[in-house]
Amino acid sequence: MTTSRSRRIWATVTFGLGMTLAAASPAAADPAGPKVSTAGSTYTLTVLSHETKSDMGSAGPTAMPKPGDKFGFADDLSQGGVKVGSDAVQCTAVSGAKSSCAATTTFDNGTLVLKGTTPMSMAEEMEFDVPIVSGTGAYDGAAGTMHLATVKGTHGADANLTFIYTTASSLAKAPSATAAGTKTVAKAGSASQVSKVPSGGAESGGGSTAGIEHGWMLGLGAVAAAAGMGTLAFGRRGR
Amino acid sequence: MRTRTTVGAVLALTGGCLIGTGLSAQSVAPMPAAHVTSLRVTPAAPLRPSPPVSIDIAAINLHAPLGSVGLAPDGTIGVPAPGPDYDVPGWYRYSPTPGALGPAVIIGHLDTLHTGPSVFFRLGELTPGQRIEVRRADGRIAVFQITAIAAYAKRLFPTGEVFGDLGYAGLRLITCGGPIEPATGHYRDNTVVFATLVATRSR
Repeated sequence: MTTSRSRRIWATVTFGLGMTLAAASPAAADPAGPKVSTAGSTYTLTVLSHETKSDMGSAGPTAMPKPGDKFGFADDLSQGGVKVGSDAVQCTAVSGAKSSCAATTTFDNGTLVLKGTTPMSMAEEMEFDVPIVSGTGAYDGAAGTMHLATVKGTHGADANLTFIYTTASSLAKAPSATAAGTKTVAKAGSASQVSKVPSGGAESGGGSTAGIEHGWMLGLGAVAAAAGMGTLAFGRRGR
Repeated sequence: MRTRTTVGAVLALTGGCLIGTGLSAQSVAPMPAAHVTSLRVTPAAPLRPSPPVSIDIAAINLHAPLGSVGLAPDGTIGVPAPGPDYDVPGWYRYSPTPGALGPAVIIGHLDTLHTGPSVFFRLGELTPGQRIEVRRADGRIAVFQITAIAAYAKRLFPTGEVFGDLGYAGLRLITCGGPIEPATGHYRDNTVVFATLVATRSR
């Protein structure tokens, strides 16, 4: 109960992590590190996280942290039920229902370091992005973003994490703009810089401005005008 | 008799004023010119990746925080979900972060279901040469210059042109446009603004 409660706060505050622990004990970590997909110079690493430890500090386990309160979490990370790493997160609550957090995510082949200000709420389902600011080992010079989406029904204890980043070595291999920026398309017709290419256009409108707006005003005006004209006509007939 | 005439005249006048006001308050989304005008610019060197925080387009008085979107279940680009963040544009999280090498994509709604214009309502007013600024989590501001703006029918959406690789840091802003299609109840088109990173600065 305490874990769930604190996890709910954590998940919305930081880079809370969750893995679906279908098995009681995940298999041993892969020394080669987690599986990543590559698109151009950009890597995408997706894991499930599960909270293993939390310390809500001075706020206690049942209250929302106040500005200045410090708290932390630790999580196991897995891919396909196999543990591939862990993380440790430290946060300080700041004003505006936000929290300033730093996290170190450790895999067998290196670490990713995240740092940023994130929203804080008691909502069970949350999604937000956190900057990846550096890394070591296979993640040397990492920069990018991590997207967190809590897993429904876990009260924030589990979350899907998607790390999208470049590294020093991946950028060194990538085609880059020249100083004058004259180089154009890296590979004509390809789309390797966008890791998941959408299949088409977007439904980015509700439709309210395509029809009649302010219908009440137009309706009221029509009724008033009709009544006025009727009154005038009736008065003329009565003369 | 005279009173009746006065009442009738006032009612008719009031009704006319209400109709006039209602009609003049109708929102009409600006649409880009039918033909695409493209501007050549000299790109600035790309920045390292860092998530976007907010977007500013002075030309249309747009200043908004940024969220993020992913893919919709049908494989198209996701859009900001109904709720308190409906009017917050979203960076497509599978595209490069704005200022980094490649086509960063930001999508926002044209309007809402009931309440009128949304955050990208005036996107169609933009013209090549105008600037877009994106603030990033690393403290850098990526300054883009618009090179083209166009409307595409969704069924003919130019995926390669919008999401294809670039040798520089680009930006694409996407929203809806055109008429509502009766069969689907959705807008027929997408308006797309194409821009290129031309400068960076620290805030």
